[in-house]
Amino acid sequence: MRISFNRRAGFIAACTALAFGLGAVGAIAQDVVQQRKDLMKSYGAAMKVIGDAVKAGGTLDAAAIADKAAIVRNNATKIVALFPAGSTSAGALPAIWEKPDEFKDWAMKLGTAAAALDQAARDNKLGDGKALVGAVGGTCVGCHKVFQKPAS
Amino acid sequence: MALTIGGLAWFVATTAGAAPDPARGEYVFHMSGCASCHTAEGGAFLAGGRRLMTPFGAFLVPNITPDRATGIGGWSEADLVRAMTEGVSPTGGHYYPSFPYTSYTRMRRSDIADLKAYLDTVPAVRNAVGPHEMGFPFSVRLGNFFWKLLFFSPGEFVPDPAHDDEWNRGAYLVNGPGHCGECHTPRNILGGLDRDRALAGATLPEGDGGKVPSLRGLDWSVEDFVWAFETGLLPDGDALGSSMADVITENTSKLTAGDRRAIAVYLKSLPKPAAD
Repeated sequence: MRISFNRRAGFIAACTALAFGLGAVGAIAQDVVQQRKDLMKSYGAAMKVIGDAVKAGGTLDAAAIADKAAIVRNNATKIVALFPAGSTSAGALPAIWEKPDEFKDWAMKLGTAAAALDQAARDNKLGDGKALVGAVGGTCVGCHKVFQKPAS
Repeated sequence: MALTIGGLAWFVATTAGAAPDPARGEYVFHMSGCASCHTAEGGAFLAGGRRLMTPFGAFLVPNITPDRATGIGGWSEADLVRAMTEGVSPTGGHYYPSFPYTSYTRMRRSDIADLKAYLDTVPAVRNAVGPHEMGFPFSVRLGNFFWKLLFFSPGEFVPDPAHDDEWNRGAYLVNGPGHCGECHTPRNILGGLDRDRALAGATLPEGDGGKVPSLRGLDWSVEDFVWAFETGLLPDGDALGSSMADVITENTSKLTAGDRRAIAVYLKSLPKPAAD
């Protein structure tokens, strides 16, 4: 009887732990989706400031551009860890989990392009900025093409 | 601005009435977005083989390299003009409108002649592409003849004298070679383009049927359009993707600054369609 009770208690305890565990995993998955959305938005916000400056023409504020380019440079590869197995979401194509090396490669290309922009800005060698910013944009577009699900 | 218009006038002047030129043809090739469909993912350049999955069936995109057996190496310039402007093959068959002759019909015949001169220079690749995989009744190719009677209005682009050269150049690029409306204009149940709602946004005719945004009445500056065509970056800092990614990298980013601006000026002028 005593043994059986302990078994039952153990079973309930295990179920409880499992339930909390699943809940925690679910919460983490939700959390990671929000985190990657926020990270993507931070790239976008930086690119908007840079894009607006280049579109306006004239003398570019190199310090401001370096500041924003550094945000993208420093955070570019952080995106990879925010797509753990099973963390599907509406905007992500399965290719992210099927071709992880290519996904990582794009993240590194983003970092490289952003670093080149950052360096040019700090060296005051931006020119009109179009080619350097275009190279960053090219990595965004290239990665979106393969891994981002279009709105439906 | 004056320089842009001057450059444009020069470009137009030098392209009119000259012998077909492969270098100009390569530029027409970028205007026309041929590679997006005719080069399969991981396949040889322009050798075809891509499957366009549509509600009507699977279209297998043909090889347009100069290979005589499996490509278009045996075609004359007149054959290409007829294919692109009338949707008729050298043997007299009617093409499905998955081949956007509905837009290419607006192209200048000299542009198509240049394009032919360029296509003759690309490496010939032997790649036999099978027939389209269509269910009945769409498998009946003669149906395309009737489809054309209903939905195809052939004819070269006619500039609108109410607008300047830049606007007209943009209108030409968008509605002719650029064939933007093939995705951005909604289609009726038979796949005909709804011209009353030109460029007003649609469902992607191919693949998983994603949403294609409207290009009319956007709250974008001319510079925003130009920037997006050049870099793929949108006014809010987000980036284009999906099938528009290739349009940016293979087409709009390879145009002259003047042409990007002309497209921008034209699109910027389009009002929101009347509410429905």
